[in-house]
Amino acid sequence: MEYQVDDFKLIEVFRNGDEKAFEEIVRRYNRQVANIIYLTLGNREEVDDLSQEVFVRVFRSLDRFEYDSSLYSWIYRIAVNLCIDEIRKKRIRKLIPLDFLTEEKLEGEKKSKVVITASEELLQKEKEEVIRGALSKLSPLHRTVILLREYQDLSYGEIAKTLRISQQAVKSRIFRAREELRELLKDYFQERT
Amino acid sequence: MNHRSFERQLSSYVDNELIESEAKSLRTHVEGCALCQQQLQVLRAIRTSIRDAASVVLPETFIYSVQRAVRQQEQEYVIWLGPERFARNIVVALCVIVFTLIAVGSYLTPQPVVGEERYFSGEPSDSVAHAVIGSQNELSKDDVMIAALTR
Repeated sequence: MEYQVDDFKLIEVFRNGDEKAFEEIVRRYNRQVANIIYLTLGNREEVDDLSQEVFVRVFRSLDRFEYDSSLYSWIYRIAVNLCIDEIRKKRIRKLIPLDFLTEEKLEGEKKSKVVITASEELLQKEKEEVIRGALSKLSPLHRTVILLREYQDLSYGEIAKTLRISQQAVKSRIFRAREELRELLKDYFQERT
Repeated sequence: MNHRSFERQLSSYVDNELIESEAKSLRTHVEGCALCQQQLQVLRAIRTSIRDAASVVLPETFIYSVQRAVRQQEQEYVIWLGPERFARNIVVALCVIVFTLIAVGSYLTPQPVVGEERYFSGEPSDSVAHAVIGSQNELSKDDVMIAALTR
């Protein structure tokens, strides 16, 4: 059965006992949740398990959803909280292996650039690594806020609700996160312009 | 407003979070400011790069793994619920037993009979109570003292 209904309607259907509605919620948001986790933790290996955990929590808590925010920002809140817990648990920021390009920058070595063949895939991979490396250097709070803005396209108001902070705090964190990213990616963007 | 103030607004501008009058005035500034144009370009490039880096696609079977995990947790909960219920029942049963024992015990223990009842029933009583009740309130202080001392 294909659902073409809005999120609140889906929740109602789920609450009335139709678990197909939950499947639809998972289909709608699994990609965003997986990428938020991926970009926040910078670790692909954990993405599947943590995404699963997010949706298990969604399943268990959907009965308590209070319609005071959109379903997606509610799901992102669960995902973000889980990521923050993970970061706290593992102090992942210090432990995650940085990509080879970032390591180059960290060590201050002026190694010659790895010769990339004209393969689009490799170029894309390189770009991803650089961005991921830069994101991993942001504080978890800055990282979360910038991802909700840049990747999930949430407004300041939605981010404020999701993270339970003021809009002013959102604005200032986004500003600072961008300043940091601009500095971290300075060389990268200069090469490309 | 100076260049620095406009530059600080660029972040909110790319997010469409400025009010129209602020956005209009910023646009006018940016048209004539190469530095702000460059900053704006970088901010947009950051956005594009982050979106491009979000390359994870979960397998089609992801939904089944979620459902499996949900079922598994439910089963674990039910399994855990068995001992939990059993323990709760044990506690309730123990409470009932203790309460019953206390009630039976207090029923079987002979209740102390107040002096007046013992006096009228002719049971031996301690001398003070006996003397006080028997005196019909006509005891002197000395009588009470003697009764107390001879107890």
